[in-house]
Amino acid sequence: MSPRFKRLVLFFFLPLFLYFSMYTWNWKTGYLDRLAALTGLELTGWVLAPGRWLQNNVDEFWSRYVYLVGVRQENEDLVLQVRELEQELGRISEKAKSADRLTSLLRFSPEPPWEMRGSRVIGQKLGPNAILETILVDVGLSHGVRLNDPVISPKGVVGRIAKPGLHFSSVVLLSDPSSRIPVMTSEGRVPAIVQGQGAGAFLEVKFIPRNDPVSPGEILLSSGLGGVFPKGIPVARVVEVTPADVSLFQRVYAEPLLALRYYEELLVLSRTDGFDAGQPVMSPAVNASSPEAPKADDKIPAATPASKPAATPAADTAPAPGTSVTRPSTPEPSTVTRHPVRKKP
Amino acid sequence: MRLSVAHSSTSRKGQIPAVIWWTDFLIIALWAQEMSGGLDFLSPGVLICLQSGQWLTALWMGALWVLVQEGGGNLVFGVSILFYAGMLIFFLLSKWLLEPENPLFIILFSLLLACWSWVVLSGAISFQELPPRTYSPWSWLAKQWAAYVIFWGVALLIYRRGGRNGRI
Repeated sequence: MSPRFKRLVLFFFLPLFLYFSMYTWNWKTGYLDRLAALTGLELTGWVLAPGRWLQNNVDEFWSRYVYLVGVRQENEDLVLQVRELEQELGRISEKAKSADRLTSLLRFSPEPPWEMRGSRVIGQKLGPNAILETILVDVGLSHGVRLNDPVISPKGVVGRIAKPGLHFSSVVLLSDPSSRIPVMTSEGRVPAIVQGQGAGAFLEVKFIPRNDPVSPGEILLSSGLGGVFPKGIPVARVVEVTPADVSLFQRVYAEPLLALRYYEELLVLSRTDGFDAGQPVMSPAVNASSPEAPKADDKIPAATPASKPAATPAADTAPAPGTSVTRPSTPEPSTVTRHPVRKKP
Repeated sequence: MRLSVAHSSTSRKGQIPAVIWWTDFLIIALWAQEMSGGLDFLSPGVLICLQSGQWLTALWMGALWVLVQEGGGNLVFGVSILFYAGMLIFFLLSKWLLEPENPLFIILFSLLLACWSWVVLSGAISFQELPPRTYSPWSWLAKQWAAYVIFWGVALLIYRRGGRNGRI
């Protein structure tokens, strides 16, 4: 063997072989992804968290103690709104009680228990490798968060946990093309799948048969199929419906109910019955990097029934007429615009 | 004009200790990555070490940067290793053609690095069957190029003036 060939093997083929061995081994096991989540993601989180905490406190100080323009008027409006909501709550709680009674009479299986914990958004795209539409939140495995746990805001679905670290987690947003959520229309209860099309684009609502009723303005709710999201959480609002010409399905587009990247505080939901939500949204090796989350001792108490989103055992149960649904009262205008193909106008 | 650092075995009074310098660099680079929406600001740190011949520092820094980039990203582990390996090879090859201490080297090498980054990421996205990026490559390349040139140039100038100029 000539020295030249030896050098070629030593400096080119051997490193290449080692690299591909490591790559395929990690693709199968996910050990290195887990290591990166527990070190790199943690380090990034600890670097960003103090700055974000300072920013939030300065913002809060400014809005609470300095910038008080219109506070009195806003207070009066809110008092009126609270009175209206109290009346509505009384009415709806009676309906909820009757729904519970009917559920037990009809022997439906009980709703899976969900636990809710607050989290702060401390980062957005964290570097060149952050290909998906993601944000970073300050809860992780040590808080009891697990892979695929739903992330919501009071107005609707935001996304789900894509990479849980020890104290910080990466959340893939609803608008990412790899995100698919089973939904149903709020009026016609038509099942469909909502798929993201990237930042600033409408969401595509797939598989709505050509004769099924759906109209612009209708709210899409999570259907609970698949077990990742609880049933009945608002996901998006239908903005465009085009009747099918030759296809079996209508072309339907929707927009998220909130500006996904402009939220500072979010809620992470976790099932407390140990149900595994299945495979995550990312590539196989990243999927493999999902260690079972340790149960945190200091869990935040479960949400009260009033604040808890309606949840049923997903799948094939017919929608109960009295199912309580958290509807957005006044969904904020979304920043979503139309895409060239099905995006920005 | 030479921007690069020169070796010095003794530290002058008023110089920033190396650990503090690189910690500050990491914090600023991570915030820059966060604010810029996904551009790479960490690689110039490794390049400064390579320019000043600090191979050991470049090695551990590269390993740390790999973990940070992979941890914050959504791709299967290994893309950053490929990127930094390519960067090292390109650096060694470019040293034959251009003087690494010249500003022109920084400008041209930054362009090469931005293109390499796009190629590696696009390959990984395709290989892992992720949805392709929807934005134009040209605007991303221009932004990444500008980010490398500015961040690398400024960091190098500050490092030359205030850094320890020695091994960590």
